[in-house]
Amino acid sequence: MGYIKSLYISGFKKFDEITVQFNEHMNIIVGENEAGKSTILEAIKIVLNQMYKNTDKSILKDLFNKTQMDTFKANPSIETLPKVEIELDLVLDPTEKNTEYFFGENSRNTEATFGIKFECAFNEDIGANLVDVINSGEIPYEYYNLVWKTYSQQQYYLIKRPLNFISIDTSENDTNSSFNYFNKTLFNSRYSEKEKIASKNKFRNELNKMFKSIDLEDIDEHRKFGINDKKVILESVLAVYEDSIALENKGSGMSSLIKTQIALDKSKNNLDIVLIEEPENHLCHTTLLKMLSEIEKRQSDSQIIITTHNNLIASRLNLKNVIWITDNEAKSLDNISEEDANFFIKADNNNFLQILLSKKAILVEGATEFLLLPKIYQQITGRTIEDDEINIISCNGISYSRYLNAVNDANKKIVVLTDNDNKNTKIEESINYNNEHQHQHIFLDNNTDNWTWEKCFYTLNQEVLNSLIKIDENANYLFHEKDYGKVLGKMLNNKVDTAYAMLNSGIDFVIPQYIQDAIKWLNE
Amino acid sequence: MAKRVILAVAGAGKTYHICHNIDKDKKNLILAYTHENIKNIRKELINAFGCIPELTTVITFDAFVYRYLILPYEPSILRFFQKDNFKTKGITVKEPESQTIDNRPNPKYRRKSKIGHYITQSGLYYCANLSELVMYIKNGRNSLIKRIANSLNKFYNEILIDEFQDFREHDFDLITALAKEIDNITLVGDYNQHSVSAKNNSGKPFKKRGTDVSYEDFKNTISDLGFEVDETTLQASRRCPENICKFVQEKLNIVFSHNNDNNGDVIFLSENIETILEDNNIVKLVYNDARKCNFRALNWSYSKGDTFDNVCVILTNNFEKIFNDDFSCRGISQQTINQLYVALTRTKGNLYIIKNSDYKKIK
Repeated sequence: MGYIKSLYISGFKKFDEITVQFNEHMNIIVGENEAGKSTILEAIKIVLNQMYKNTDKSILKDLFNKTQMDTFKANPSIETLPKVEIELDLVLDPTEKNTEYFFGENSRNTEATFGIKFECAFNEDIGANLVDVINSGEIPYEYYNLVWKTYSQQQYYLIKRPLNFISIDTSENDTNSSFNYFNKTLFNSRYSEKEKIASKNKFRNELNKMFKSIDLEDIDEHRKFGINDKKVILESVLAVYEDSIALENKGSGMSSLIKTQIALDKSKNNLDIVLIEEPENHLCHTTLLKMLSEIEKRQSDSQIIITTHNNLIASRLNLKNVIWITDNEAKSLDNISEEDANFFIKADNNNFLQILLSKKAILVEGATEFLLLPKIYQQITGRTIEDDEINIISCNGISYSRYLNAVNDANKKIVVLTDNDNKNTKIEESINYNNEHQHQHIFLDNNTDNWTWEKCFYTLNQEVLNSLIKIDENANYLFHEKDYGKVLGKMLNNKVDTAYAMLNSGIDFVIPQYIQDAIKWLNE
Repeated sequence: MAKRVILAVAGAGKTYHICHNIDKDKKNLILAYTHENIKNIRKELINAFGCIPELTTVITFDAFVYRYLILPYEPSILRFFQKDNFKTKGITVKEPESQTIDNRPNPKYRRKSKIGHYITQSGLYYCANLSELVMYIKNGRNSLIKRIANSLNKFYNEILIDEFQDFREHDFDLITALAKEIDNITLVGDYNQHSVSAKNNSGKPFKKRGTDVSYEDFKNTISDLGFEVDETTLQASRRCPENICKFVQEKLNIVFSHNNDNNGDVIFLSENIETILEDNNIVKLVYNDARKCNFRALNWSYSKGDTFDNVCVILTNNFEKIFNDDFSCRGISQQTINQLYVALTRTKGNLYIIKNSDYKKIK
């Protein structure tokens, strides 16, 4: 089976230059908003499907990279004119039809490989007399050529497309065109040329016959109405029916699910590559789970490329398959350990993706810290966490080391706030970790007496808390069968309520030093 | 399968053999020198399978060299001449500059170590020098040919070349160099039909230091190149009747047997020539200038690959004595003999022969 091995983009939209490596089967593209996830899918469509081939050249200004446009504006010349290059490296089976047509050295690779190259560049031959126009800072869009060539340096014709692919876009506003596209693509890959031609002919003939049989009165002696063949094209009037209901008439969530099911049935529908954009759109939790299990089942048949913001999708389909788009770079998470990956697959409700999608992150143990930290942050810095684009992520009982392992060498500042649990070993471990890691640090109180978040706060704010926390004189407030005094005892037994009370009190508490240090480090 | 040369006689069914023996479910590449051959191969494939099998490619040798050996590896080629950014624009059938004009050096000629030897200044590849170019790209042991052959082995189950005797000089060298590295390659050709076309009628492998290479020498050359030589599969004509085969064998000294039940005789015509000339059912084969004839005629060399029900061959002066018992080809050029061989072996039925002297009388 063939698949997309990698994609190289230069000068296209968001990307000055980027290379994305793909897995043979499952690929989950994640990234912050505007990171360029859809641009990557669009680049694939441009190369394989010759998107924009027949579009007006005025579209080009939306395709060029902004940096390249700026460079040209600052220093206009033929050499600095923006241009788009996209190369799609493929893996194909040489014993299959036409594959030699894609094989050669005409790519950025030094060895001969399979692939297709797209280039949108100024044609110097036809635009030879435009030097003055160009030097004055005008981009002559009309004199740009869009050229598709295989790596063997021959014209790429759509009819020789080496891989069939379909794109399922759930965010598409224009549902009409999205269904048209889906139906058309499915129809084309599902049936052989022979079947397609036969059905189109029959459709046309029967329609004409049927119209004649209506027996309308002629217009006059020589003139009558007939069917305009050019307007009834079978592919554009097709709809997919499920039990007598057209897919278009189902809810958008349901129709996404059905489209996905159909697309992934490779043995019937011959689709090698399925692109799914943000499948979480319009899907309720249970439908999403259903779709995911469908994808999981089929993932070894086709190559699947998904863009998503959703944690569940990323962890369910294995974090090792995540391609993380950040800072014009595509990073693979496939170097996280099998054990960690499996862990996140099992723990459905984790916030892993949030780490990848945030600029800076603070990992905390649970709800208490999660509630109080935004206020503490503002108290210390005078700014909100939103101002500084910091994400607070609650590990919810999952060991923070799992998260740290997974983001291992990412160039992203992450702070872990944790309790020392009255263990010196934990303190030592954190020192070692911090020495070895530049971008991720663990912060905890380095006095084992202050073994937990509540104890740290109580030590520093005893008076205020004694009056804020109302206690029942008759209660013991033992915590794990130990007596820590009534106020602290109640705080330990009612962590979230305490945090909520502290938050609502409006009091500026004295902040434990390790938390202050953590916030300071994060903003260095 | 391996590297095989099948030596055939006229009408033995070279094209038929190639087309009917491929594995249609595997990838095959069939090459021939002329478009005429390609047309015949396509026709025969359709006879054999109802259509050209999906995985079988049939193209001319020049197209093969350009599209399979040059274009995919152009970056390597340009880098070899240190012209990485040179832009090529296609191919030209214009003859390359010759080394000398009227015995004086031609200032426009470029040596083979220069890119200008292979590509015009405006970026067009000389069609005539494509094979030479592919052969020339070498860096020590790492030759372009080897890399190409490696990928051809991955792509194709078998490579077949029809009318192998049409290839000369660099084309011939390229085929043998490729064959060295190709797993499965079959060449089919007829030694006695070499040098028949107007082009490609001189040089290696059929001439050595100016003299013709004999059948035995030719056989040794290809077997030295590592080919297994098959002289049995295509040794009998499926076209020519027994009497015609006997005549050709006796007069032209070519081993030529038959394998068919066709009926036909050699008929020497000295009278009533006009009746035959005017009979449009019988094609007349003349040495040259067929288009100047006012009857249905073809040049000897153009009739290569054709089959007719009845044929009338008009001889040249050299063959005035062909019906004498002591006739021998001695003194007649090999090219002319081969062309006559082609002409004499086109018929499924009668072979009428008119001597040049008799033909001149009525002209």
